[in-house]
Amino acid sequence: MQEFLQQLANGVAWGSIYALIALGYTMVYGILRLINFAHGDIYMVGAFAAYFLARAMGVGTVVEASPLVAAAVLLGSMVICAALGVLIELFAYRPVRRSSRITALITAIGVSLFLENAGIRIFGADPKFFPQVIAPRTIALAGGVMVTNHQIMVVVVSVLLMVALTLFIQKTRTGKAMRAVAFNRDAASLMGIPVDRIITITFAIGSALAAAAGFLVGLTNPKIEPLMGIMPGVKAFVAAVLGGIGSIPGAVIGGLVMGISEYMVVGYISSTYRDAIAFVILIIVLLIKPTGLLGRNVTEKV
Amino acid sequence: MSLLEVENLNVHYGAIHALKGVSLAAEEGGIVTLVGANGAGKSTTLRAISGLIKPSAGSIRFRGKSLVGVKPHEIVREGVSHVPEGRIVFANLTVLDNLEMGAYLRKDRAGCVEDLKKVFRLFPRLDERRRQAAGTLSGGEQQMLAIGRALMAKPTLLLMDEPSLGLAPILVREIFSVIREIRSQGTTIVLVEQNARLALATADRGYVLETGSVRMSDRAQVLLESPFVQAAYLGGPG
Ligand SMILES: Nc1ncnc2c1ncn2[C@@H]1O[C@H](COP(=O)(O)OP(=O)(O)OP(=O)(O)O)[C@@H](O)[C@H]1O
Ligand SMILES: [Mg+2]
Repeated sequence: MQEFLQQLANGVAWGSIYALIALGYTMVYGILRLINFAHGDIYMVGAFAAYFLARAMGVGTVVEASPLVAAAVLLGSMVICAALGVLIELFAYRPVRRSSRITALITAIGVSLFLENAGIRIFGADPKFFPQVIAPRTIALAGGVMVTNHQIMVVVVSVLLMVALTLFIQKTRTGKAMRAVAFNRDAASLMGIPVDRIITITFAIGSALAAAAGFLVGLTNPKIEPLMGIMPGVKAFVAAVLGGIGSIPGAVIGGLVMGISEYMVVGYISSTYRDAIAFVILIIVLLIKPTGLLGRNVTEKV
Repeated sequence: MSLLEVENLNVHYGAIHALKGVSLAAEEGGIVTLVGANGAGKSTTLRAISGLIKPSAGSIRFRGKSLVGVKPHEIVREGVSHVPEGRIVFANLTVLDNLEMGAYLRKDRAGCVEDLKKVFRLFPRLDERRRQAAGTLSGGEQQMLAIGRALMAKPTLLLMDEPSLGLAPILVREIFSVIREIRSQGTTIVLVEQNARLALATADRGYVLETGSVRMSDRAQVLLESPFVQAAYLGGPG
């Protein structure tokens, strides 16, 4: 039982990171029907942006590690990645928006390779050690479960961001416009909604969430490198598909399921199969319910 | 100068030449109707006016200003709203949110509140269902919502694409009385209809479209009485 709870706690923390990445996939897919293959690499850039920001601020040498410093680093990397997402949308995806889906897909793969190779060039291929923006501490929960304050922070930050995103999408005019554009782009433009700008905003938000995931992963698994986005990118994509691509609550649930099942495999089978479980889940979803847990039927009646 | 002047409008969908030099005009405060068979190019004409498709040739002027190449949302800002064929309400949004989207570009909150009341007066059924997801409305209610949503932009010119499509006769009468009401409040209307009899009886002027060209145009009353229109579109005289 203790083992189970321990793996559950680890899985929830890890799954929150998948969920944050999956949100970006699902939002972009919802609005453009595009699988943004570069999304995992944006998460990588987020981790590096946080790394360089923390270094530039002199964390650990000039300034003490503190929640305030961590928040500044987090926000900074989110802003940097939001800008990166906007640039990618503007210069890579917008020019091919009216082309075939295969063109868009190839463009996305190209952007992904570009970011990975630019990362290797600029940051170097060897792993970097993420600075400790918050001093680590281990906390004993009930039932002998041990968690770190970093894991708690991962969950808390993820939940806060998800709540903020949900409120934004449900309550604000821009959020409603995002849903309108996702439902039908032409009809939205007939309402006076500036569709291009809404798409840009979607990329900015999705990329900022990926950056947050990059920061949080740096906190818990402090070795970062330019290809670190590939595997989590794939798994978060599976999470989005599992939840029902296009569905925001689906992405959260999918991310958590992915994280938890991964740790259950580690705890009860072998860590060798840790990455395999993602593909097992993907195959099962595609066989049994291709629309995912919360996905609507693809042919939306209009 | 007419409020809307379309001249020699040509539209291609790839190799398909959908509009072959359509010209039409809408006078301020009037109702103009475009009638014609399936595939005649009625929707294409409206889609070109509201900027959803780019014409390959021709001009579209609204208040003397060219709309060709202007983005759809900018055209809404100019005062042209379009109730699309098939309604296309945002099914995942509530009735109220749909109406809010209609007023997306407006900054005058007080005016919006006033216009929301007006829409609810026009369509009390929407008021009763304001918190309901638009996708759960009946076809007739969705049509009301699509019209109400377009009115929330406070348009000078309202383009309506087959508002009576698929509705029971009683609802069709209700929608047409609303169309007259909207006109009486000063909004100019371009009405696309397959129900030619009702459309011509409601409009001031009519255009008969056939395979991408204007076959006839005249005062609506004259078209109603024309033997050609009667034979081809009204199922014989009377
Ligand atoms: N997206 C498109 N791609 C290719 N061809 C199209 C497209 N939309 C319309 N067309 C063609 O253009 C022509 C005009 O179509 P349009 O929809 O304007 O007709 P309509 O008069 O509105 O007909 P209906 O009464 O059936 O709505 C038709 O031949 C149609 O097949
Ligand atoms: Mg049509």
